[in-house]
Amino acid sequence: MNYEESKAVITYTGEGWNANAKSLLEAVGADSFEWRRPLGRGPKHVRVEAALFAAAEAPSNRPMIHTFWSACTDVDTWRSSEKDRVERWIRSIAAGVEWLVVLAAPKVADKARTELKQSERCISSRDPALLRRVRQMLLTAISNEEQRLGQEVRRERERRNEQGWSFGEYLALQEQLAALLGTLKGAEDEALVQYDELDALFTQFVRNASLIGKVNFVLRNEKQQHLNFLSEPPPWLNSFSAPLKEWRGLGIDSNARFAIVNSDASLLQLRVYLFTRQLNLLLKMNQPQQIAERCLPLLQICSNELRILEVDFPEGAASCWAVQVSLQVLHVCRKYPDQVHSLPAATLCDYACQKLFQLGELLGLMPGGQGPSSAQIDAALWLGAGLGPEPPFGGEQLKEALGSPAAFQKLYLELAELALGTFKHLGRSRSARQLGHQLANFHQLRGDPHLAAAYLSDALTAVEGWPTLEIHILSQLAECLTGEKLAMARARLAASLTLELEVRKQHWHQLLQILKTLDDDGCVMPLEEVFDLVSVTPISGHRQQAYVNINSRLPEAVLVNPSLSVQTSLPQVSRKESNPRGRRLRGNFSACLSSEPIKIQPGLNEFILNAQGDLHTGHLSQLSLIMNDKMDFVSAEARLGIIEVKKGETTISVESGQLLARMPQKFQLRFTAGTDGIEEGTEVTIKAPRGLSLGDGGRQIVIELPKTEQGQDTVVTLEAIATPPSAKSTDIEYGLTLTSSLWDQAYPVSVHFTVPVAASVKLHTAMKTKFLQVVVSSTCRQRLMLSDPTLELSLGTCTPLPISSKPLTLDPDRPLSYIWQLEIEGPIRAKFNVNLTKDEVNGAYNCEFELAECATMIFVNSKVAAASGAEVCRANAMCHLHLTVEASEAIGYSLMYELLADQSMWAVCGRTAGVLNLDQPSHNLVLEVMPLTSGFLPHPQVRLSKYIPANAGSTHPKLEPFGPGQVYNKSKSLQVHVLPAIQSS
Amino acid sequence: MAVCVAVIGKDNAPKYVSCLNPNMELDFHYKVHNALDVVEEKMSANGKASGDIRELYLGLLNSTDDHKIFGYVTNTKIKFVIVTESANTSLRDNEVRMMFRRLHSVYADVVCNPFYNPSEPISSKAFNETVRNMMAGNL
Repeated sequence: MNYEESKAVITYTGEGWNANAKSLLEAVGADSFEWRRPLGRGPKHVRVEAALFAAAEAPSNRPMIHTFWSACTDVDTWRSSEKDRVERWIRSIAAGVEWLVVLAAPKVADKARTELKQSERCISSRDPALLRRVRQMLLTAISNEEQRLGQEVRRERERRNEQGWSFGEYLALQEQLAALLGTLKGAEDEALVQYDELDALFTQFVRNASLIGKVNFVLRNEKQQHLNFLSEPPPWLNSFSAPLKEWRGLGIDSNARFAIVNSDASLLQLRVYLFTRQLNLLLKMNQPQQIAERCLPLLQICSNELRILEVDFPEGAASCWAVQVSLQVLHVCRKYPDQVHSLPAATLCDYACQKLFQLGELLGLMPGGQGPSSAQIDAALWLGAGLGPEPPFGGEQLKEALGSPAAFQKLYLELAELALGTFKHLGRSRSARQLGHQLANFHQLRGDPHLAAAYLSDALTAVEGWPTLEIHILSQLAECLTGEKLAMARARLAASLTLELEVRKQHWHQLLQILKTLDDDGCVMPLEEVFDLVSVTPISGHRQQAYVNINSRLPEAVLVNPSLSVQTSLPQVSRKESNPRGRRLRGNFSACLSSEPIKIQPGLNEFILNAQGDLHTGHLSQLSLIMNDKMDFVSAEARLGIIEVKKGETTISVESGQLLARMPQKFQLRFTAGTDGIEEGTEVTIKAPRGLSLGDGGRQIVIELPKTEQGQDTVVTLEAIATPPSAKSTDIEYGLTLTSSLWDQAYPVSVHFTVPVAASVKLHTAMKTKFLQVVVSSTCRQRLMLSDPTLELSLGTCTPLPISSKPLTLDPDRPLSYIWQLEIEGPIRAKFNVNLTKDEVNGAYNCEFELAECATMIFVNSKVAAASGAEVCRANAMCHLHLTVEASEAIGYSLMYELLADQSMWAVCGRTAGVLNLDQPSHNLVLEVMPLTSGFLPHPQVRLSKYIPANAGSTHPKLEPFGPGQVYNKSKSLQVHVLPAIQSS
Repeated sequence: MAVCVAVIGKDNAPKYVSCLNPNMELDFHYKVHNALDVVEEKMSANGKASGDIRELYLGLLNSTDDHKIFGYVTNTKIKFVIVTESANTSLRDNEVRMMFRRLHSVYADVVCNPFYNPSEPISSKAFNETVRNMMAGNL
């Protein structure tokens, strides 16, 4: 439907109509006018254009106003004839239609107004309000028509699910409304809404059809006969399922519209028709930015709807159509410079590229192939023919492209580069690089691996962190590369754990092949791509070393030459700037730690690198693993640890296990040569302190050292016996002093000895007989053999109690005891000797004790018995404690006795202490005690002490305890059986 | 329902990608990766507008002939991406939102696990189970 055909109409009649009047009316559309609309819709400023028709020729069915142009200029003529004519004319006009009488002279107009009683509808042609009046009437006419059509559209839409309803007819109706609105300049958006509604309505129909299909399919399959099948899609929709015969691009085609209205159009025809209408309206509204934005969803919806409606079409036709529409839309966008580089245009471009790529593959138009086969040429011709005759919006390129591979490739590159450039410009880096990835495929087919590699490398940077994508792109990249770059790509692939082992091995073997072809410069590759540097542990000193831990991700073992650079000075700042991005540089390896070639197995590996030649102090900086002399895996420059040179003297360290005193022991002195090394035959004098004898027993020996290189060791073994002066401490440190030409001053070394055993004594008494027990325990936590114990007394004799004379084993935590019976008088000194054996090394242990006066002088006997009358002791009943004190011989002082009873068991009822004068050999005392509980109670103890009465020297009497063994308590450890108390009733 | 579900970390590297059809995994990886452009755009746009910060759903990111790609971003900049089939016209926006909310909740469970290191890919069985259910359509 043409807008020209739906313009509002102004009819004219009467003699007054002339050229002036015509030009006057033609100015109706020159100015905008406020259009107030019913139903709460906001006012709009619109311009109304109208077509002028003579009354007889006016078309019907259009919003219309009628005008009568009177030529009458004087009131008399008006009155005599003109008035009648006008009245006749007015009567001929149908009700509800606007009309206007234009009179040539103002006075006649005044007359007409009063006589016809139509003040609004009679106006002088010279009245400036004429145009406004005409516009207002036109708008009223249009408004009325719009309301009428709107109601009709709504009514029809309500009926859309009824039988016999047809989308085509409905479309024709709503288009009338759209066309009407389209005639109003400024109301195009309203017209667009009509088409959007049609678009949405159709989309909904197709959607429902797909749902109905799915539900019915399920119901049929599940034999749910009792459920009603959804009603089948409307029959008019079937026409859209018809096979495609043509796939024309955008453009208004009257045949197409006819077909649509008659339900005989194809899906693409309908979609193209609707979109073309929308596009035209958007252009009228000067909103080109919406065109590309609306185009992509359209293409996607169509692609979907073709599938849903199961439309048959030749392979490639849908793609062909999509490319054609895209090209046309892009062509339109090109007229607006800011639009062609907009995101929607780029996305559309990208979409067209994909479709074009598919077409190219289908029709054999891609580069690098044999060219299209005859079948493919036929298909291309067929597809080209389906595009119809000359498309109205440009887009001839597609027909051309279908005909020749060169034109096709040109078109493809043009589109791809436009999209790529726009994506980059708009910051859609991933989209840009993905498109670049496709371009790379294209260039690779074209036989330009160089360009392909550039695009792929770029794409690779975009997918960082996406292992699957990285590997995919890298595998493709490997196909485009040669030389060292290929080697690096293969190495990365071989080390990618996401790939299968077999695939990685293939890459690995290919890498080995490539390395053979590389020139001697080889290539430098970041170590991290293949190995993980787990740790580097530097060991400073005379022998600089570094322990390196790396994890290899390669599928097989590899022999490499390792080296670790030492950065002896601060890095130069300029180096970083000159380092091209992404390129790993091999730093300065003039100072480095290295080793023989080593084999790195897949997984964790540890190896040691040594300083070769000169030593350096500095930061460990880069690890380099050179494989096959060609490929250098270099880690990033970093501070991996500090390594230092300890320049200077020969150092000595003592190496020994636990050294035992009193036995010949061996230990090693390790001489580590300093920077100057040790000359052959260098003499070293070793002096031992008192208590330590070296070698044959002297305290000084001289040794000769062999020639020793810098950093190397010489070990000298020494034998020594330590004889610590006292047995008090178990751990003794002896300081050795070494003097030699190696050092300016004496070199001190300390050696630690442990006393192996410790002995203690205990005196035991039986009446007057005395025994001495010597307890020997280990202090060195080692097992020793003890033999030949002897005890020497300064006075008196001793007899060992017969125990086995065989050597005894002394275990840690299990002391040994030896017992002698003594026959002594007065204080004596005793010396204990025992031989020690440890690992067939013999030694001796001795120690001395002093024994005080210990002869038994007093015997004490005590006994608890029931008080008079009772036979047994009972709790809470008084008992008697009979105490007997006897002296073995007369002693010249008094004794003090004290009763020490546990207060929880015994209550002492009378005296608790007293003084005995031992003028007679035996004393008997009776003391009163009361057991507090029943059971076997320990005897109350009696303590005896010497009592020295007060004399002139001291005002208070003094108590002196007896020495051990001097008082023998016969009743020690006795218990008293106490029965429970008698319960008084 | 969903044909692919992905969780992408703060650094835009994938933490979890699962597809209904394993043969299409590469294709979906590309699609999800590509959609990150739009996620970033929307995130920076949201940052500027002083709108509702709590709205985590980003809506439709991209669409192709066959698929629609939806996005969601958590406050900690973890991105969820769900791919659905374009042919599935009955899927409503609200259902997609529901799926995202569900995904967010199981993701929170994963992160609450003290043995899970947030820099590692997600290997939780429970998470996988939920995603499988989502793809099978029994949400």
